Amino acid sequence: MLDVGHKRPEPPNPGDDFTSLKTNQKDPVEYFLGRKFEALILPGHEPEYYGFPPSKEYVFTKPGNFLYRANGFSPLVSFAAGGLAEAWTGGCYPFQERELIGFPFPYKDLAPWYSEVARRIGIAGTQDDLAKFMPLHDGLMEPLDLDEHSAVLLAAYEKRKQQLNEKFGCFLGRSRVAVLSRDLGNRKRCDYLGRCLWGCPSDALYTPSVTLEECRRHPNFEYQDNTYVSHFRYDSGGRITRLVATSLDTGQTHEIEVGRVVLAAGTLSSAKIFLESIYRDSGESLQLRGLMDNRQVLAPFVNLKLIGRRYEPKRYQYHQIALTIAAADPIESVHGLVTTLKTALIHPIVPGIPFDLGTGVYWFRNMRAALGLVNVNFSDHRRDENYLALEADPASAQTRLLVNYRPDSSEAARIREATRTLQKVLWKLGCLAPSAMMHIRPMGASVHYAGTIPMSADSATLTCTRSCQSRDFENLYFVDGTTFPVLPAKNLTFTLMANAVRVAEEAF
Amino acid sequence: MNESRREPEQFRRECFTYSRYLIGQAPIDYVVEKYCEYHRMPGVFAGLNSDRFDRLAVRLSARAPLLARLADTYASRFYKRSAVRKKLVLLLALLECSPPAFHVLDIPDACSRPGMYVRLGFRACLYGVMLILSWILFTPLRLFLSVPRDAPGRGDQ
Ligand SMILES: Cc1cc2nc3c(=O)[nH]c(=O)nc-3n(C[C@H](O)[C@H](O)[C@H](O)COP(=O)(O)OP(=O)(O)OC[C@H]3O[C@@H](n4cnc5c(N)ncnc54)[C@H](O)[C@@H]3O)c2cc1C
Ligand code: SF4
Repeated sequence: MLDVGHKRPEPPNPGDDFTSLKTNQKDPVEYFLGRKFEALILPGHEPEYYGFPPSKEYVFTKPGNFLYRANGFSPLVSFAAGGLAEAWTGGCYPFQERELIGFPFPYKDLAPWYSEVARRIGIAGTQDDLAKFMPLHDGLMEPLDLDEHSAVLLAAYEKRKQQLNEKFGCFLGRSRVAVLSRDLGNRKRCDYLGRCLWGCPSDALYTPSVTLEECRRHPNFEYQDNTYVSHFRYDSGGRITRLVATSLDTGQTHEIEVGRVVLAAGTLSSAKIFLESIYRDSGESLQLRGLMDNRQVLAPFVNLKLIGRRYEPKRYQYHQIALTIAAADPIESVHGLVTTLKTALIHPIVPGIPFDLGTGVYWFRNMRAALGLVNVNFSDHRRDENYLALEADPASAQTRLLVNYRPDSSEAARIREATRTLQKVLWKLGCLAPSAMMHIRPMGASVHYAGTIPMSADSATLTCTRSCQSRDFENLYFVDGTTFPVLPAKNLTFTLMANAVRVAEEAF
Repeated sequence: MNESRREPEQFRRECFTYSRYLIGQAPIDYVVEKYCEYHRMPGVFAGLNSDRFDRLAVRLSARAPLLARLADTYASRFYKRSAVRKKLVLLLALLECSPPAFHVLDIPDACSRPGMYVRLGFRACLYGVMLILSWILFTPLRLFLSVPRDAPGRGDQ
């Protein structure tokens, strides 16, 4: 395996919870804000409500070789060992049968691999009202202990369930998360340290580097990190013969002979390698059309029943509840993750309270336990105007990836309708979600990229087979979002993993 | 005293006053040191004090917590990216990471829910009053200082 593979720094004081990290470290400001205060969010930044901590910097550091320009899109790429999901929030949504429309295989061919992945990585969840939107599979562990706020929300839902289901098509339940509620192999169960965002010190929260470490213990697995793959070479029969890679230690470029190539560099990076290879060979500059991503809207809310309560720092930090606003066609349903505020850095949040900071701090202190955020996802479809291509970078002799995205004309109306329903639902649950605080995240922010070389039943160029085998290069496979023909309003990584295992079993 | 000698003293003063304004406590040495360290970073100080009004607002607000509140209240509506507000957010970030100050930010007032609603309402009304006062105080200053220093006076035209 060739990988750039930036390494995660060792988490300090593994036994400490969030609060003890502040008291027990010599320089807590350096840990939380960074040596150069890079995690400090001053007024004037985009109101994203949270930023990435310095301990996650390695996830987003790019080598100089990867250049891009984007229109209407804010791309996020990772060159970490483990990739973007080293910073994920662990939400694991299986797709429903109807959501596989456009995939050239039936649901039963994918379903068993959800169970297999769940057994391997550990997913906590349960059977509840969301099971009809997130099909149940084997390998689920019992859910994590609920935090008080999430419990209050679920209790309110139970009371008004009928009305919420019938009038608003809204269903609530436990979110499924890749976190251990019991020990698995040498990973320990979650012990509620509340430092998930900064990096779980016990690997209770699954990240792909856990699997990478496991692979590295196999005698026939070879891992070469610090290696940037720029393109591949192929023969006249369309067979890839060599990969061209640069060592980031020495700057030397070398070529590696290959039998079969599996690209899993993430949708954007895989596209860059693919396009660059064709460009270098033939001078042809192709467009890969159909780029998709989930639009996300952040809707902060305050639970009126919990104002004045003390917040709980020793809790699992991310979402414990999910919600669905069902549409007649499941692919148009809206899915959201509900994160109640527990441990967090507060300085990005307080300036958003419409007072002076003194009053803002007072309000926040007394309302913290009552605050929450719904992260609502919207589905996307392949459209020709959204594409990836290569262009010359004027500042260097290299090419750069051009990312072009324009939302469809119905998007604004869909967002308006869903957020109105969400506000009404939250009100029924005893919460206020002010419109002024809602934030439509830029396209690209959800990092659920897909659709550029889709699987399809028709044999056309720039598509791939049901085994994710390229129709342009017979010994090339993709196991990232590149091959997804549709993108429901769901976090896709669990399906990426299940699909990758399916491809491995089917084609190798 | 020249500017560069005076600056650390000014930063310390800001840090003490702002901390008393935000959490009602003086900062520990560690926080003061971090506050100064941030300002010592190349380019930061210039970025924070962008115009004459900004600089004056910082100097005024560092004198007393009440003045800090007035300057911040004004900025909260009329100058959200002002240096005062940025410095306050910086200090808030330092306080929330550092013991014992973070405890103050974590613990709600001990009172009943209706009592809490009353307190929150009272603080919001107080903000309204401060907003009017700050507008009266800072708007003329801002207008006055926005006239370029070397601009010709009326008589010169
Ligand atoms: C903050 C955050 C929260 C998220 N939360 C969720 C969630 O709750 N649920 C969910 O389903 N998804 C979530 N995601 C999305 C999820 O992380 C991605 O869907 C997933 O990581 C994609 O995996 P991938 O393997 O396809 O690509 P990536 O994660 O991008 O991995 C690409 C890998 O390829 C390597 N690579 C890339 N280019 C090259 C090259 N040229 N040469 C050599 N190596 C290369 C990189 O080093 C990296 O290891 C989240 C993402 C973020 C950022
Ligand atoms: S998952 Fe989060 S809460 Fe659980 S042990 Fe890891 S850091 Fe702590």
